[in-house]
Amino acid sequence: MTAPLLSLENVRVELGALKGMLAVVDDLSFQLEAGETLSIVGESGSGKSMAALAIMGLLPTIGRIAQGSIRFAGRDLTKLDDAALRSIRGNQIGMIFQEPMTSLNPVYKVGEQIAEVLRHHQGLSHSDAWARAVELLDAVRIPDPKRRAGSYPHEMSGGQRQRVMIAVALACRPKILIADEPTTALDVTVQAEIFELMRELAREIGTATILITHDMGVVAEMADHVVVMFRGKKVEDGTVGDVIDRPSHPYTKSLIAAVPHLTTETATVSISPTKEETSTPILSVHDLRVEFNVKKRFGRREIFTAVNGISFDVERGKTLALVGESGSGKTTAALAVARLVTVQAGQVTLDGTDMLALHGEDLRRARAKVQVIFQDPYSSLNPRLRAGAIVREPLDGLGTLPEAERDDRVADLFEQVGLGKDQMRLFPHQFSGGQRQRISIARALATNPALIICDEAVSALDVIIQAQILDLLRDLQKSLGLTYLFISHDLGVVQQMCDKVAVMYMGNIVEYGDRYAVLSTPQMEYTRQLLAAVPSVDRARERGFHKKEQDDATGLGQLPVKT
Amino acid sequence: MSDQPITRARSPFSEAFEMFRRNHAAMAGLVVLVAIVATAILGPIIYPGDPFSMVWAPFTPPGQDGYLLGTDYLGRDLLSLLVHGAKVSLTVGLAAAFVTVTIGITVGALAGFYRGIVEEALMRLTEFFQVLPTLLFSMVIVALFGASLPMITFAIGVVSWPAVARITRAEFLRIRELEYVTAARAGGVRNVGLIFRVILPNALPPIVVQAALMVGSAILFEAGLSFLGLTDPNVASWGQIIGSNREYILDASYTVTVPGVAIFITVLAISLVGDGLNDALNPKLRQR
Repeated sequence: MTAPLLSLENVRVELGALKGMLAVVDDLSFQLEAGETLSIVGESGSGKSMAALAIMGLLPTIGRIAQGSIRFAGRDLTKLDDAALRSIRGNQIGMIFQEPMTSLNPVYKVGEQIAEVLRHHQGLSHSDAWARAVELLDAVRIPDPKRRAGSYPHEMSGGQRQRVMIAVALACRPKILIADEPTTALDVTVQAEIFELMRELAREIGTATILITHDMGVVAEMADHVVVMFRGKKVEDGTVGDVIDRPSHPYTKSLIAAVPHLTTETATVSISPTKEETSTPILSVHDLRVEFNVKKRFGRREIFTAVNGISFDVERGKTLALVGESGSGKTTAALAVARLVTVQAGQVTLDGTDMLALHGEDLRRARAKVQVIFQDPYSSLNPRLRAGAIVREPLDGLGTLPEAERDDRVADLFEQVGLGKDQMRLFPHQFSGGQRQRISIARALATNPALIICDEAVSALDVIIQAQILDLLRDLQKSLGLTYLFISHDLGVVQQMCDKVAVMYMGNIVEYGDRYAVLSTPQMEYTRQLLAAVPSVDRARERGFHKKEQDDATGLGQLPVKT
Repeated sequence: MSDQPITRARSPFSEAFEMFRRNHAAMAGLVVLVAIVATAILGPIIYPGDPFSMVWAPFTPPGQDGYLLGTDYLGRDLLSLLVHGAKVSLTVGLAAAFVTVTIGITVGALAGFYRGIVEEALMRLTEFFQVLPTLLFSMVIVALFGASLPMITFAIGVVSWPAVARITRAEFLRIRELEYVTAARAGGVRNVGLIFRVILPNALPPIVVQAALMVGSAILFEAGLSFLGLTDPNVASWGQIIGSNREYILDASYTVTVPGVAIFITVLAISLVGDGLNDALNPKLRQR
């Protein structure tokens, strides 16, 4: 057996904290064979990104490799000096980062950024490097590469930027490509294209890939080999089939159990829209239109239509999902219902009130009827207020409760969302992401609203926490008879949560109906694409996990499959 | 798990203070500053009497005849002048910074919160004040309305608020888009509440830093005006001591050096504290 391409042995990475060193990666060992795709999975804070940065020698200044060895091409990377590491970085090991907005330098043309790598590592001349950069842009399927090489990053979409990053990373045909959550910031259809591209290019060049992700669906579709990390330690290591079908560690089991499954519902249609007494909708939206002034130049206005005349209803105690990619207008539509953005035209009737007719003090009072749970558990809570005061805010602003009873109400709310009363005194930064989202939920419940808007309420959470929060939302709906307008891009979550689904695309609702109808028998092409693009454990399992091998006729990818 | 009960509530400010305490330079600045403030408060008790009274022969060098810092051209005790001047200089510095911050926050907050025509108008006003030559403008105010301490304080405040206004506006522009502000709006908080109770407390850190540095620059500003003679001649301030002795700088250099050093040390201490606050309040530098 030949030596593996990259092998980590007992690697321990420490970060300097205020109180001594903190081990973020502890005793991590794994091996990467040439040409294979290894996936490192774990929740945020599990140390998976730190492990990748350690391989690249790019740990933050407060971090260091305390122990262990990282062997690559016969050398121990932990022993190399900066100059030697630089010659490996970008040349033999390339890296793609999560955030395509910030990982390209905004002041240089993208062609220049690719050419720079080539000039530096391969000593190409300016004109040769530029020509090669254009070829690479073509290889990552950027249309009209000659012209686009002269574009600046802000002139490209997120997906295109990530393609450029791939071009940069693969410019020197590296032996290893490290991709740290490369598609987390991208829409699901773009994600599917990026993965397709990575797969093809890796096979073409023979690059081995380390794919860092939190998404088991991605793992199932992309990886040959999986390493599961939990709090800095490796808890599971095996082929993708073994890990997903026969997980041994309890953490892996709970991780896989928590993945929302997007299954084709057939007989299980218990919530079918049969002869249920057709209750009057609590929220009725008709021809809602929202426009933004993009810019004003010399008095000439450019108008962007975010929501283009949409209509939908939500029944009391039910959940409607607004589904779509970023920029589809789903959040704008929901915030328009709550009158948190300016509405141009349409009708919104909530619980008998014409929301759009309200002004000033009437509008402020009407806000008690609709509350919002936001996406980002870090920016949705005022860092200067204690948790109790945050939940109390709407009670003070809108509540009809007498002052003396408000604190008791806050305590009750804390209990309802599964937080302790003693936690009311804490500040937001002392809570975890999931707990913060519970505070958000408590705040939204405070005024007994007729409608709660969940704006990607679980998207920023790790999958296990996400499952807990979804359970909480469902329990609350049952016990309090809540009505949700649920905004999400994650169709797996939508299927678990919702009764009806509205698919939005570029400001319009392109498909609207009961959940099982939309998700199982989609009528529109766009809905079908959206469904097909979702990385799915189940679909990958049906394919036997190794799509790569199946369509690989050339036999280039000799994958070490041990099953 | 992360669900362990945390019992001690730690406010963002208590954490910032801990950071501040770790910063030796800032702590040293704070100690010096506290000493100076104590002198300013206790000075008149230690050195009672009028600092302007002539007590000994003019130009007695420091240390001679029991006068620790010597006497000036009129035979006044420099130490007594210095101690009494500390109160005036610090008061002017603090009061001017207060005026600056009050105007700056009001203008910046309104501009950043309401946007549109309000912002347009207020920011053009800010720019108007920014392009005026500050020293000249304040001299004109003092010359026109009389060289009293309140007028000097006001003049300093009026010429220095644009910096605070710009910082405040920038912070408001950033914070008003955050979700907790939208959440507060959804929770029925009125605009006044949004500005002062939700956004402003979160915008404070850079403003606090700017205000601290403003105290230092106001002291310098006052010294500058006094040096030019634009001050109340009946009140001892550090700048005024330098100004009145400036003709004798070659014969008795200590008469200007001593108050000069006092200004230098005070402003340095304030700057160190300001820097320390900046580090402590800036979450990006708070690596944990």
